[in-house]
Amino acid sequence: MSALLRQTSRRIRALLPILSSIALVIFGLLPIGLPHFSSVAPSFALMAVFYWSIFRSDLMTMLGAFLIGLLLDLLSGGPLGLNALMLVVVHELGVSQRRVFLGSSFLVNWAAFALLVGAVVPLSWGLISLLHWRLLPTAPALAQVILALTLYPAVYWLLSRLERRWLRGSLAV
Amino acid sequence: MARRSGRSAWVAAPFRALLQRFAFLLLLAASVGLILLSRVDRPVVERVRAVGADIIEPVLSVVAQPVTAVNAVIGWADDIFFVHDENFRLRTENARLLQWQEVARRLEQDNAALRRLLSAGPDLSQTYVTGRVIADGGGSFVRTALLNVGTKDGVKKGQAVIGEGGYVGRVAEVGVRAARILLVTDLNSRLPVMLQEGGHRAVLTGDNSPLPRLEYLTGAARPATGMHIVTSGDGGQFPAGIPVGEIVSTDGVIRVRPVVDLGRLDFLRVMQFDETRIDAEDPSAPAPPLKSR
Repeated sequence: MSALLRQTSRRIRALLPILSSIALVIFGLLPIGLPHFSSVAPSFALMAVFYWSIFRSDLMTMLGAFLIGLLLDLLSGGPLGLNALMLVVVHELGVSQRRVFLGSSFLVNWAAFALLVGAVVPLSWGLISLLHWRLLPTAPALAQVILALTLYPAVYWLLSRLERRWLRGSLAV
Repeated sequence: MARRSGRSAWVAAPFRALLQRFAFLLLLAASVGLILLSRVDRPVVERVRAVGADIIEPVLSVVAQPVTAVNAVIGWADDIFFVHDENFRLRTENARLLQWQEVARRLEQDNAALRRLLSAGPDLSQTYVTGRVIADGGGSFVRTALLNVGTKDGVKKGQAVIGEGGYVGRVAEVGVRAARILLVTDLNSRLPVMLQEGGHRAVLTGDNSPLPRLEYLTGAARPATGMHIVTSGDGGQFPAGIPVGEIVSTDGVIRVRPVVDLGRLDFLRVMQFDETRIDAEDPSAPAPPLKSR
């Protein structure tokens, strides 16, 4: 019985990266009372997928990243597939560079995230501009990048706490 | 992977890498395919999205509850800080509105008298369904909001959504429990409008900026800053005369500031406008009984 319980607990904890990302997706969609926050709201899903694809790439699979992006697309009302595309790319970059980040400090991680957001947001901007064949305003996208950089440490802290509390040790790869 | 050792890992590793690469390309292709599909076949995508919104609506409704409470506390603190200014503002506004009340009473009497003269039916009255915004953070590329009412409340696609003071947007997708509102500022929003003074027709085009553009204005019109824009009712999905905004700039591109503060949306009303009831305005037709919910 206890073995079954342990296994169930293990399974649930293995879902933690995906579940925490989904929670962050929902958090990012909430109608917070700040004026115009929704138009510059940073993609919390991007932060989560980046974090987990570096630190627990075994639990944050590429399909998981794709599905999280699809959920975000469904709920945010943007073109279906756009966030899915971005998160799959983020996951690929995270996993391919994870050896560099695993031993390095938070500052290095933050800098890498800055590069990533600085590439992904303009890329989405370009794609949507292309789809509508019209240049979109750049100010909200820029504000989104800056806000994402400012809020990343908080999300990093939260996710690393989660990881240390629930995933470290017992779920060794 | 470290636990695997010996021959099997040696054989499996390149195979796994290949599989990984294949999966990456497959998911990339799937994403691009979906993006193209959402451009080509909108109804299917809308359907899928409405189902998604229905599924997530209970979760969002529950999670949005404490957010509403926190917002209320912030609003309360705000009220206390600015109570003096607010009081002054309200008093001057009150004086002004009392004058308007006089005018409105007189006009109402005039209107009733003229209607009697024309033997026109009673004024069309709309009914509303009120819903709460449960999600709005679409990021920097869309201007939409999710409302916790759907077909079960009588909401239909295309209906006008009214906030405090006027037009907010229209229902773009509707599920059983949730509806997505396309705000007037969104890139995909095209709203048939007219200048309140003169009734010149135009189209209000959203471009994701806070101030949508007034396009296709008829040549005779002389737009000026401060002019009010209302819905023209063309298209028949909602009535004419809903306040939309006011012209704020006319140099080159004409831009309009929406009357409703779209940065803060809370409770919104979906206007139940039944097109068939327009017949009632035809004096020769027998007036159907008007239902009000």
